[in-house]
Amino acid sequence: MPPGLDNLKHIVVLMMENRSFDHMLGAMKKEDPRIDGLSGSESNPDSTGAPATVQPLADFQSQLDPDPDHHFPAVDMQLFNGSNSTPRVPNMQGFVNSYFQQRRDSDHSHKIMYYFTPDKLPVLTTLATQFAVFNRWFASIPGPTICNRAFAHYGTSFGHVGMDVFYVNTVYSSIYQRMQQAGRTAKIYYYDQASSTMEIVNLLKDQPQFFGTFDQFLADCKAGTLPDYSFIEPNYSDHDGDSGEVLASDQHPDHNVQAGEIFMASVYNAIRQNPSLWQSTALLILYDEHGGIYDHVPPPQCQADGFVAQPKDTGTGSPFMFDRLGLRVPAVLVSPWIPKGTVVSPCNAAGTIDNQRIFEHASIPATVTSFFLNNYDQRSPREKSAQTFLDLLSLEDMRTDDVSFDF
Amino acid sequence: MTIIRVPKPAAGAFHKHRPVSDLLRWQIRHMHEAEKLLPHDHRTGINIDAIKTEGEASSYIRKVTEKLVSKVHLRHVFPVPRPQQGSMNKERPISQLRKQQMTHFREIEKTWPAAKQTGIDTELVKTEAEAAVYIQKITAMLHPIVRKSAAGAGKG
Repeated sequence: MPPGLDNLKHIVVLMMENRSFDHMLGAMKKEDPRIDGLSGSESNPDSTGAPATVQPLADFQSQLDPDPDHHFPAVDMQLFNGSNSTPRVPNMQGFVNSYFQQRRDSDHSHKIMYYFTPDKLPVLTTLATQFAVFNRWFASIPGPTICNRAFAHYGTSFGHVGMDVFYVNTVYSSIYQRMQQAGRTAKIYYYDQASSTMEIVNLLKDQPQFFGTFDQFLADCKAGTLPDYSFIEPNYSDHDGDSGEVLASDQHPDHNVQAGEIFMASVYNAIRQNPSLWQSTALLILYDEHGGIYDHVPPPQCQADGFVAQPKDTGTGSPFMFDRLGLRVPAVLVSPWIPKGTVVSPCNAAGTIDNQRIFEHASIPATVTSFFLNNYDQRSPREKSAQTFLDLLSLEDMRTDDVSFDF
Repeated sequence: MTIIRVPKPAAGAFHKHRPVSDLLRWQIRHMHEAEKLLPHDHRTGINIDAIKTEGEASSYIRKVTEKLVSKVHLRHVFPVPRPQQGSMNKERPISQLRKQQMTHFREIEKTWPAAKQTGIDTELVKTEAEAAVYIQKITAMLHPIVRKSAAGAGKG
């Protein structure tokens, strides 16, 4: 086993909200052509048929209002722009038309094509540059938050494609239960009680022992008492906290993106500042789904999940077999055992596609299970086929360079 | 001992305006690849396509080499900008995400005895601040804690 894995004791996942790969990291292609971002010429037709081109004009706040639709029918529109060809092939041409439906304002609908330049996102882009960035990490479903986050916790959404309350079956346990049953430790850290968690009816209600606050995460990092596996949820709303006003840090439109950058930095610094934790932890920062915002890479087909979402649930008039991934999201893996400037690409050195390097949220429980629990068979078909990512900790010697953030 | 004198270059041999050679051009490209891995504020910002002369090339190569051999970039603190004043908006209408989160909490609350319920009609909750109050009450009952909110991150 590589030394990085010999030393690995903790996996930490921070899942942010609703931003696409191209929106956050697409501009990095200009600096590093290995990153599959934007050329600058990508476009979508607007409501008049004129091309709306990608623009480096993304703002931190007050731009994507109303919240771009990212429910299943809207994402179907974004991917196919109304095309019903057989077989259906995503053309990624319906983002502007989808956003236009919400305000009927053609100029405003162009903003769905806006992206950030790296200087505006110093935390995410620095971590992407310093450690490993994934060219092909997709949401698990072309749909909204709850069902996508379920894949991170269970390796499946149990047939759900929306936001409704649903109850898990007893076949597939959460990664937290699996860890506990094996004598391991795992925790979900939500920001504070006013923000709370998105894992309510199945985890918080019945298994509060798996939860902690972000305050406790910081304390656990300092004390070296972090669990084997940690999942962190950002702050989902602007609200009053114990010591004043607290800005939402989830980056969900129209929340402030810089507050999310600070939150990421605080997670990273907390790990980085404890030397023994730093050398024994892998931190994955990613987003749950694209939030209706443009990305140029068509989501690929994937292993069906054994569930079927009926037409009344998909809202498209067709069932969904869970055989296509959602849109691409930013994902960065951080560890001192990763070579600086790693770009995880589905293409091999010869430039041909290698599907072994395509990831989705089921890759999270798949990786945690593979590393901590070895053989655990009671998992969804999607999780069993999902790629794991710890092979990226490949260095023979731990890096000694020191990147930290000041905020 | 025989001493062989080596002539000095002629006066005027120095020619820093000489166009860059193919070798130098490749060296610049390699330097640029290495520079891209430096933190943003340690990069030169120099457009290498605009480098035409040996003098310009050497200036660029010196700057990047300094950065690469310097230990400064190995121990670097990145400043992270804070949100502007006025970013806080508790009166923002709740998003679909937050609304659905309340629906999930309400699903649990409905199973509780009336005396334990909050009495809050979630249909009337319109703002992020109101949603936060409701969610805090239910979370506190499901997951009681005594700690204060996290300090430092995301403060408005």
